[in-house]
Amino acid sequence: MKKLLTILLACSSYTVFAQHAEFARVSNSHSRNREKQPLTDVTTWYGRVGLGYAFTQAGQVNSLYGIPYSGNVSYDNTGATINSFSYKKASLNTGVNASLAMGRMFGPHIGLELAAQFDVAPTKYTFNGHNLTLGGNLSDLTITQQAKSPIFLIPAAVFQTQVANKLQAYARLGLVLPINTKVNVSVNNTDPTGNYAYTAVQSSSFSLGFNGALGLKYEAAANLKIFAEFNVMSLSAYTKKEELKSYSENGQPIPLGQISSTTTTYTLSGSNSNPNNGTGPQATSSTPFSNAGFMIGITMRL
Amino acid sequence: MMKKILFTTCFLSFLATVSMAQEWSFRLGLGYAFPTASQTLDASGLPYSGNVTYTSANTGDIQSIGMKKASFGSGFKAVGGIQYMFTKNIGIAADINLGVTTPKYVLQTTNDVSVNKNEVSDNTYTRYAKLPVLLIPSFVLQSSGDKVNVYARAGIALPLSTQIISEEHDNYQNVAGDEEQLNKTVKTQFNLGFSGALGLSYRVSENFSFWVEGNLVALSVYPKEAEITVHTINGTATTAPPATGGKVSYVTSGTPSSNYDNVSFSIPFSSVGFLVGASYNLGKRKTVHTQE
Repeated sequence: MKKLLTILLACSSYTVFAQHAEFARVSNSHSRNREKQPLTDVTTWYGRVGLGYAFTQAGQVNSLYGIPYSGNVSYDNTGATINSFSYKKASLNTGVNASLAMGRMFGPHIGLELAAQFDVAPTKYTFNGHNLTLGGNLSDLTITQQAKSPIFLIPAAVFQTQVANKLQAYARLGLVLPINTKVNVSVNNTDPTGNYAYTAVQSSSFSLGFNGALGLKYEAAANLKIFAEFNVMSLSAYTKKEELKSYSENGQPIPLGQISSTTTTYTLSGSNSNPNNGTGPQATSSTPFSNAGFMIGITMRL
Repeated sequence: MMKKILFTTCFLSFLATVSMAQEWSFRLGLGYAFPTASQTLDASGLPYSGNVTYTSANTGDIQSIGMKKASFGSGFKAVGGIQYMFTKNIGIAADINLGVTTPKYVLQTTNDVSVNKNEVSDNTYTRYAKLPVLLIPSFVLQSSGDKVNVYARAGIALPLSTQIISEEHDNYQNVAGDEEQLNKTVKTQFNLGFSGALGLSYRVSENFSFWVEGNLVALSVYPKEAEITVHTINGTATTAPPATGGKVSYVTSGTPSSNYDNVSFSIPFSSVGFLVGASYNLGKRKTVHTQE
């Protein structure tokens, strides 16, 4: 399905832009080798649209709660000994992503680009725990966590060079400015005293990340190129607060107005105003957003 | 992971097939790397760096906390490598990236009952990477200027050595002078990372160039085994577990042999930084085709 979507996007874009292709190639009178002359994108604006998939890279095992993002653990009936467990590394910025960019080349090799990247289908991570000791009881706990439509702005320097007729290699290195790194959380806990479940949204403080890419561009028409690239993003977000969105006990919804505190704040430093009941700022933790993936798409001169 | 390797391999093969041999060069550089994609808490929920004061009620509740983000891949770097340009514009390189000095992350806890619930202690945890070494094979793209060239590199980061030294010193409050020291060396599993750089080079003679670059390493490593190097109480070696010379293994699945601490976790090694250095052209190789 993902492959099909990618192919459809590339084909449809090609059809639209090929009909309006009227950009001339810049001839290079200094070159005696016609096959090596630079392509058209010398001192020009361009747009870029791509679709790709990102895998977990530099992933973490444990989440904000000190519990793994993904996997399962089963304790014995005393809750003291683990019978078995299986954990996986996680990054919340993995899955299908799309990119929309505009850039300008300042010569045959150097340019600047601003891209917006959207994780359109982020991976959902689920943890299942059996006979965990929570609040003095043995509990069965399920936690799911999924990024809520992550969006990033990526200003980058672009370097490109000709490798063959109609074929260019390029590299990008830039910053990652996280616009949205919210995480949806769902918790379901059952113990001998009953069941409670809640949903919450975690938001993060601003944190700078970095991005790099290496790719190839093929000139399919005078104004249009098809690209394929490998890219890497290095970013951690730091949870700032968690807001409760729903709460239920034994299947019965409890209005949030009846709950004394629906927001938990997390900080790098601070004092707990009332440590005995667990209120006040909590220690923040890093949320992994790093990934490595590939993308294919089109670039067009503007 | 296999998909990543496969993709990288295919990409390398593809570029190699469209290129022609031209020249070798050798380069050396020095620089500094700052933490990026850092972490605040370790696997046990303790900060890597900063301080934590628990309430004097000895309940384990936090009274105040001050944390700093940590990445063990930061610090002063030395780089040496070779580069082979297939054409003026395309090449490959292999660099050794050495962490000459790495930051020591120190955590101070007060009124801590995490070590022993029956004894309150003030603890100091010191953790640092022991001379980390990365091998970074990469693709090189370079402009075709005469004296000044812009270049970009993108490659994988292969951790050759990413050992972490962990030193824990506990001062127990209930028994005056009662001190415990626990040191261990944590070895990590192999894990693939990625690296990229964008730089500028200036040719000062036919074979000699200076260069400056900004670079990025995206890498986390995961503990495989820890060796207890020191375990003393009041300066005397103790046979209490974990004994000196003993080993602890870390896994991500199965049945832990002792406790929850055997579960593997991620150790941040990502960094962003700069390097300056010089490269020496080792001479042109006979080319297959004339370029110009």
